Amino acid sequence: MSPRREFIGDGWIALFVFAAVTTVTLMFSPAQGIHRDEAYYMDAGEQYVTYYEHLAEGVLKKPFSKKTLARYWSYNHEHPPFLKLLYGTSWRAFHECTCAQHAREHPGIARITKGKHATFGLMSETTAFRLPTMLFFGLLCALLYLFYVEALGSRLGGLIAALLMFAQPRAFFHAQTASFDLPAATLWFATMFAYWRAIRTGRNGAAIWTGIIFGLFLATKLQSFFLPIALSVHWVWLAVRRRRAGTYRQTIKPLLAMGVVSPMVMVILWPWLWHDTFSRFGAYLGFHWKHVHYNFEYLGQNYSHGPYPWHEPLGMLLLTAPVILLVLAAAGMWLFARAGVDTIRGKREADPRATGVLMLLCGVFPIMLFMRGSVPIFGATKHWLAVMPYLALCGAYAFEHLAAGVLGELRLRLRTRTQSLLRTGVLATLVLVIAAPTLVETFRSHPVGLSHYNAIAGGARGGADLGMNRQFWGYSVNGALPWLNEELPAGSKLYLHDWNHDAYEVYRRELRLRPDILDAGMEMPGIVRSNAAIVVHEKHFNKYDYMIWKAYGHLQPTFVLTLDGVPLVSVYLRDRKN
Amino acid sequence: MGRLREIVTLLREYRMTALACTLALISLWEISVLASSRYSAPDKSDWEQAVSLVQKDFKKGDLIVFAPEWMDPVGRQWFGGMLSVRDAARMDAKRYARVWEISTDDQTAPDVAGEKSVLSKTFGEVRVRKFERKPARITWELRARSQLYEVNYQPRMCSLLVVRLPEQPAKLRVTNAKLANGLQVYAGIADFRSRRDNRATARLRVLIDGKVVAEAAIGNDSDWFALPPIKTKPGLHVIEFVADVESMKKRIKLDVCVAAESRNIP
Repeated sequence: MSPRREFIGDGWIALFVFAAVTTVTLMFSPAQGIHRDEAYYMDAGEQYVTYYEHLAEGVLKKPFSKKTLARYWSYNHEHPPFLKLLYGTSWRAFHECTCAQHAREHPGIARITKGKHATFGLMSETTAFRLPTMLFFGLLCALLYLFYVEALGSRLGGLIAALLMFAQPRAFFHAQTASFDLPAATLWFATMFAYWRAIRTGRNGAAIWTGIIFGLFLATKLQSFFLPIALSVHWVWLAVRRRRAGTYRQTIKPLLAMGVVSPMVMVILWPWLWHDTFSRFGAYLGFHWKHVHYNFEYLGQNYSHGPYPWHEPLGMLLLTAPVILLVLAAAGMWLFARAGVDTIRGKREADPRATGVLMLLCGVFPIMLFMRGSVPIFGATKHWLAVMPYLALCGAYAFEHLAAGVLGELRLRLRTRTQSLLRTGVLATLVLVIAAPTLVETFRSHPVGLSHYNAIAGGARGGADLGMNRQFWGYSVNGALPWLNEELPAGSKLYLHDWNHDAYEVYRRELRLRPDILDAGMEMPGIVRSNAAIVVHEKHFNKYDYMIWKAYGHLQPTFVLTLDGVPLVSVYLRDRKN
Repeated sequence: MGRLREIVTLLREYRMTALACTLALISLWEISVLASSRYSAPDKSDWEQAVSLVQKDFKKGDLIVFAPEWMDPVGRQWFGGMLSVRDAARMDAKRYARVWEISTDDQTAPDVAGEKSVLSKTFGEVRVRKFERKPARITWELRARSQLYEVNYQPRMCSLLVVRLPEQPAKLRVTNAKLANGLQVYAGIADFRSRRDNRATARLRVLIDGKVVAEAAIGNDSDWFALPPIKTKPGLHVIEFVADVESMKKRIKLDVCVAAESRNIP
């Protein structure tokens, strides 16, 4: 088979991986609740896409003036716009439109009061908003396959890497949300992949592609600022090695493109920066530099500010990722390290692009940032999700070695039909050995992935025993909606607690929540006004139980949503039924 | 010996196959742990049977506690009708003659740790145990001046001493307190937001008839702190609780919450 034909084959396989991962994620997504930040990003997405719609329709008199841009782009300007714009675009193209009926629940500038948006009408509003993240998840798994094939030369390994990426409870959760963490992990990996290719070819086109992809990353999330550090260290490593060996000369073009092209891409995509560019960019950095510390429970202690335990990210990783993935990844890292030592000793030919070093730097850097003890830890695993593709690659590498070793020991070659069948059977069994627990962990965690803990923790109950963060973002309320719709008296005033108002509005306009159930308001005045109240269980939220006891005069919730018996959401009725 | 050598040789020859088998065992273990977590959760029938047993023998003044602690909301869903806010927000469990412990996973509630139950029945995944003990006789308590607060993420009926400035101590004075031969005081910082913002430590002093009888440093990490039991002279007394700033770093947001009971100390 010629290299060209092989490449086409891999392209098709990658496309299959992309389609399969996206489709499965899409199928599961409707059961997962809308989290706090998602609701804001949906709101922002509607406003941002409306700007371009109004621009195309020619209804804006001064479309690029500071005032006009502020109308559409000032909302949620503490986060870059790329993903929010994609969410808005996807929503605009695919949602089943009932927008005029629920005009008041849409942002002012995006409201329509009559008629319908012209859309394909393929899915609910929430799913349409979330679709881009699912596509990014498919893309990440496909890129892992392609990278593995190109860097390590095995299709089986590539497919296993894609599987190990897909079957991760926390990644699977984030892949179903309209938020930035999974796309950020994808763009981290995609930029690294593009850089790795560009330093081989030295072509301007490859370097510019690296710059464009990194520009998209800059326009997505703050973590992007740290990737050039990892890539620069890798580049310096290569330069030092070249000087010593005099064998290979790498280009600096991709890094230059990241310095020149990427900021341009970010500014083009972010109209908020088209006026007062530097002060607004400074404000964006300042917001995150001084980001508030939210509460987070870890090993029984509630942390509301630093210093945090240095091991918190590692502890979360160890207790949330599938155990099989951890075991394989550890073995893979050991194999890579052994290969590295052999290279240094001259027993093995050096990889001209030092791929192992690149993977090490890009795989370790995201989590290392959170081991300083001062960086807020409230996002559980989401802020260093970019580590996970590298664990999947290492895991696949170990699997490939194991499979080759087993087939060798059992002397199963492709000489006879029986041997061929046996070989396929052994391989299928090995795949099953790793696929079964990772898929069980992942699907078991759905739709409350942030409450899931792995077998090392002892599952959700073990996680609760260890005093690990129960959840965040208030999304699990989704599981209580059927009960609320069934049981709450007409015109009930409901205290929403951590379920934010924007998410509540999305549920109402999608008719997932009865429209006569009203938001009673926030904190104690809201509880006093309410005749039903929700508490989303996190350690620091216990206070809200007691506030409700005080207002209602009893302490008995009528409904408790649980995962394996672990309470996630309680609902109290002022006049209890029990 | 020869057989062992054979096994070692075999393992060397089939090292990767042995590793694959180990991986398969890990895989099975992983799935079984998750399944166990799922199936060790009590179902409706377990809870109903447990409620039915407790209801039959429950007396006014009994206390119900749950273990593990995180099960509390589900426990209250089923047993909340037999539990008052005051009981849930108790200072400690010394005053209760009968305590019902509702637990799963063989866990024990701290209030009955080390005690021997007089009844133990298991319904599926729920265990009900009854404990009977000699209760402390309470002659006076601060409850009348208390409200419900969150201290150390637990409900507590306690009185708040708010300290915001170093030179302004907060005081609570009680006259005609009918004391037995002992006084038990607990304290902690109320409200997770106060603990988040506060960087100071309070000094809490307990005075009886103007004389300091106990003192403790109360900070963000003090939890629900039990001061050492104070021996008192039975009769009517004046009790004062005084909180001021003991040490300070930046912000002072000391919401010191105090509970006290006078009871006989053996």
